[in-house]
Amino acid sequence: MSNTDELVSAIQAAGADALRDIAAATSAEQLEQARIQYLAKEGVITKFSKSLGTVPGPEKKRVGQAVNDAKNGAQAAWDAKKADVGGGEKKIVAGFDVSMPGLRRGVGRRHPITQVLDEVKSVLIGMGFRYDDYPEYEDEFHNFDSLNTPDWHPSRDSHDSYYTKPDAKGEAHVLRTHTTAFQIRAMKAIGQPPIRAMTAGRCYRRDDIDATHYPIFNQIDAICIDRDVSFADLKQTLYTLLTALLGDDIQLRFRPSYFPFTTPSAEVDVLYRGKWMEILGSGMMRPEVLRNGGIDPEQFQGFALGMGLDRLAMRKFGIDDIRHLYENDEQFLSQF
Amino acid sequence: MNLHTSWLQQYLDRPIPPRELVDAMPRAALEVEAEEVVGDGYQVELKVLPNRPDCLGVLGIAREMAALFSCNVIWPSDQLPPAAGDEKFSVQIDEPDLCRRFTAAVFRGVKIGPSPAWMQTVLTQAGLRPINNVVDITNFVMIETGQPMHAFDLAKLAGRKIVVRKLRDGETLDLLVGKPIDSTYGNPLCVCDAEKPQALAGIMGGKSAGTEATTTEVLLEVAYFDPVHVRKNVKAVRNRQGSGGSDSSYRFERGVDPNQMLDFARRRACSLIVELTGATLAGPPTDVIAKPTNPRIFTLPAARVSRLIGTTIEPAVVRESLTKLGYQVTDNDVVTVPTYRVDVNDAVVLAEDVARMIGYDNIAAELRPARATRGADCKASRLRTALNRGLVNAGWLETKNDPLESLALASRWLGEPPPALQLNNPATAEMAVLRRTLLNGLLASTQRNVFRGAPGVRLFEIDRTFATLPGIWTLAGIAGGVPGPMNWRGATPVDFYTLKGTIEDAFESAGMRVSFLPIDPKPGSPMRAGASIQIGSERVGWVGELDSATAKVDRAAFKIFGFEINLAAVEPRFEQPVKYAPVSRFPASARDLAVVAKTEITFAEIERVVRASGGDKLERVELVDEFVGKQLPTGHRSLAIRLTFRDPGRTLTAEEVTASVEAVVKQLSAELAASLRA
Repeated sequence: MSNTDELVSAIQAAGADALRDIAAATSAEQLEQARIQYLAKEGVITKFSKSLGTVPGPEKKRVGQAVNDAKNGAQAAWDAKKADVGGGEKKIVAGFDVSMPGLRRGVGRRHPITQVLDEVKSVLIGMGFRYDDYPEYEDEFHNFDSLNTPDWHPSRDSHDSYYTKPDAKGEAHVLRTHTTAFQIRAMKAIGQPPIRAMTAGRCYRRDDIDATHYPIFNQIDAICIDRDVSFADLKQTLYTLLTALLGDDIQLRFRPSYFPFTTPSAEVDVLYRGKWMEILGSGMMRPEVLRNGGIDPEQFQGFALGMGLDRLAMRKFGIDDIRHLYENDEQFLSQF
Repeated sequence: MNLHTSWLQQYLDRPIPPRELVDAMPRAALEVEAEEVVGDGYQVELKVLPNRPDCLGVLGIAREMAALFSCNVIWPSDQLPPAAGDEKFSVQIDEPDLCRRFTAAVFRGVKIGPSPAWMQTVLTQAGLRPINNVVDITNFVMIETGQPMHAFDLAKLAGRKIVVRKLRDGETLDLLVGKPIDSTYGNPLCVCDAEKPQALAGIMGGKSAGTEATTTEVLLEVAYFDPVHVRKNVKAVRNRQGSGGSDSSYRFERGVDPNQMLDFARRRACSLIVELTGATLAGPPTDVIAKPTNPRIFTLPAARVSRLIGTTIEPAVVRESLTKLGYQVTDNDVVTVPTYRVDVNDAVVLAEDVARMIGYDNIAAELRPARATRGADCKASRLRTALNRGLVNAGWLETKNDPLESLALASRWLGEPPPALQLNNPATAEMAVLRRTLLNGLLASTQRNVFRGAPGVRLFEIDRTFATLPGIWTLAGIAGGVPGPMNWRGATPVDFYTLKGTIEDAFESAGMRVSFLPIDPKPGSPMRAGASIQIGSERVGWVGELDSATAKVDRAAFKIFGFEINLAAVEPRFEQPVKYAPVSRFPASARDLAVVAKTEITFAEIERVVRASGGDKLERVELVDEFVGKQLPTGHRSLAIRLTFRDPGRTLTAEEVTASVEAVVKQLSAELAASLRA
């Protein structure tokens, strides 16, 4: 090994030492210490460049390169670290103090439920569903009867649903208990299949308020009807929707369930961040419901799905109390 | 329904690990609400789906488990004990639609005492309190089979006769629990003796004919009551007395099996009574079928199941799945439904059973070729999104407030709400009326933030209001103080002009221009002073300073401004086609004028005169500054106005611009007595 080789490896070793010490520094003082040790006038690396004069001509370039590499590497690491440990020299650069706050208008936010709704809508719109508004001030036919929910069904109890006083025509209304109330209206409005329709919005149930219950909540509902739309299509649609919303690493579980307006019915659970959670109800539309919508159930079949947006937003953002969603505290709203 | 897995296992002919039983329950229409390791198995709390009353007994659950695990149900002994005599007991059904079947068995020599420990254990695990051997047997057979039953002390029944009829006017029935029932409850169906009602049919026994320690003769009732009628009566009792219903009515309301399971249950109960109370059967039990229940029959080709499920399912699989669940299936796909499956009212339910047996998770997810449809968002929703983004871009926060409010709040600006907006059954007085404005909710949210120390607010909401039914999309907002990050160069609180500008920006970002006309708020309106918001000639909303007397925000150290816009009126103006206007490549020339005019002369008037007199090269008229001060004559102000001139085809000369400006100055003087500031 020549003298030059030894010198170059000594320089490289000094460079490595410098990087190590700079990385290890946790305070402005320690960082300054490292600068003095390696980069200052009398610093280890600087000294090597002074010794350059003693190196034979042909080797000068190689040694000079090694010194430069060590110096530049250490300096870059030092500059980067300085921002981390802070407390460096306070400087007014060219007449302005860069540390003074920028003049900001402030950033507004859409409500977390709106954000989740927009995501769901954009996925389903991409799959050919059309979004329309449907009334939340509903009648019993659309909210219950047309959905195969007989008048003795417990959900129709005034313990569970809000009813209004009679209007001028003597008709009382129900505040929709689910967005599923849109199904007949959508079929009638759109006509014959193929139909892919959805709606979303507020629903009402006569619940007491606590951390997980609120008498007012938001849902999205969708239906898809054509000649051979099947349970398999429903499953695939849900995989597409839920992976888009919650990420590709989720798992789904389909459980038999009961809704008066679907058979087979499936409750869907999703394994999200290590926990199973009930996320939506779905199933194949009942022949009675299709018929009520003016569609021949012998020719056509369809699926329906309905999902609560409040719970979804809570899971997605880790919100622990449903009441936060309706308190509108700026400290809460400005996080999303 | 609560049970321990070891009890369920007793009804299965193959041992199945308790964990596997619990895991399979969701596939059998059972939701496991809670589970706990107890002894050698699990104590589970099950929610049986409302359409599956056949699973309100352990045998029904065992039937499902046997089908899922391909084993058999062990049916316990139901050997009808031999009768000691041939005593007949008379049962008369006056309401065959409400009581299709009624069976009665008479026992003598009953010794009332505690039931055996094994029975008490099962009852306790199921959440039922052991009472005495006879009552416990009826409860035990109920949770075993799903068929409720009732035991009367025969000695207390008049006329040795049962009549199933409606409660008559003037009659009362004193139940084991709760207040007496009379005809004001809607003449409910009762089980009566020769003289009077002794039980509210399917719901609860009366006080006067219950079994007690001294009872020796027992009449066992095992019957079928109409679900809708039972539910109606339970509701009537609940509405009047606050609570009502029983484990029996819970099952009758959902529907029991009037045939096979009822038969099994009555034989099972008879055999247990004889075995455990030392009694003998006095005669062959009476069995009156007032109206037979025939099994439903459907045709279900495998192709239909395959089409619905979306995967090929072989006929053999369909047949096997249904047979395991107790259906009879012929080779030509005719399916006879056992009458315990009250939920099967269409062939699709059979398809669901096949899918359950295959396992939902085993059905491939697959999007099959289907006719395309165009995905789209409706215009009203696009408008909401556009304005939402416009306000969010201006730093505003979107809120969601309650659509239901108190009568007092609902009335404070808009008078008493019509009945159609008032809830008939509000849960609280705070949530009793559908809102007609978004302001109340926004003010409440403003108040909350002010109480929590916010130095200012910028809150908006887009939702339905209900002044017009069935609801009208509305946008409203409230702002005040110094919201958002501090501006160290000079923080200025929100005022009318900043709010007006925000609205203009939001609408312009949505492709629309708004204008403003002064309005005089009516007394009692939320606004103290402000303007209407117009699009073209259409008035779409208002903006202004809120009246601190009516729209009060406590502890707010700033003025509150608000606006509300009817989006239904905006919608027709939204998404007008954009038409390109030619762009001049030549530079513009700007001149500033300081126009001194009387304070009551509005900027709009000045602008109108300027535009009318500035010639066709006048491109823009902008307000640069407003000045009021002692240097000006009293009652005057100075408005600095910038005029920008441009020609599409050439550069304007200084002389041309000066000539135009002079014409403007002359006209301002002539029309508005305005002068230039010296």
